[in-house]
Amino acid sequence: MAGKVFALSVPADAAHLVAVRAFFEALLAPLFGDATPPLILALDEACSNAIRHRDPALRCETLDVSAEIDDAAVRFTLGSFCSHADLPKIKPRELADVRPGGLGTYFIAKIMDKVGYEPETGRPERLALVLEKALPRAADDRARAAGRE
Amino acid sequence: MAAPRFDVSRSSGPGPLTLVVSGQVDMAVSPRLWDEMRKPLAAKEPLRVVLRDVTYIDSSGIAVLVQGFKLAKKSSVAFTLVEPSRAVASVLDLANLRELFDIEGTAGKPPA
Repeated sequence: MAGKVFALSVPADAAHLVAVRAFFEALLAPLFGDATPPLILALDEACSNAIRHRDPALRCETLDVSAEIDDAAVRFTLGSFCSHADLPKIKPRELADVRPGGLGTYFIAKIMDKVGYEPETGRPERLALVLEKALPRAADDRARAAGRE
Repeated sequence: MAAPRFDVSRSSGPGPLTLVVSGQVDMAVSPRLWDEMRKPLAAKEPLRVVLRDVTYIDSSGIAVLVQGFKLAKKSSVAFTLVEPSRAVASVLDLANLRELFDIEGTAGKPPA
């Protein structure tokens, strides 16, 4: 995937989430139309989780978010999302369990096509969160192709 | 002057206490919303929460609504969501939680 990359860094503070949402919403709305709000929700939940749960040992004071967009998909990368040790703790909750907590991770998994973690270049102890979603037209093309098979 | 990104106010009038919420509800402001909801529910007052002008809500905001539902149930008082906006309704649906709540009206369709 090699497309245009748009990046934003803000202080890792909940007060700045509104700016992250506004930046990426303006970027994605022309591509995703009515499907934009869930994407922004997934991205916002990822940023919220980083603010809330990021290991202080990572000493990371910013949220570094990028979106790479090509003809097929958008790929968000949230830098220094967690360490390897954090991975087992990240899981969505059961929906039947009516309580706060874990809902954000559930939203991310439900909205995005792919959710993964990648070691950061030069800092392999840190993992970036990577979220990918096919552009609506690309998703339609894939569905049609699958129907022909 | 730009509209505030989040606001919650008490609507005066007859009937149960009504909170009117507007703007964007995220983890920066959901504790404030919970503060406003918790006090009356803990005092066993029925509560209506108007969500007509909420333009964004995340899981922390939904969690506050779930906490409100649970506290109301514990206090045996009514807890009603009024006219949830499209933004709220879609996230409630995503979480499969719409059925949990007593909901009056939907955005654009005021309660009868």
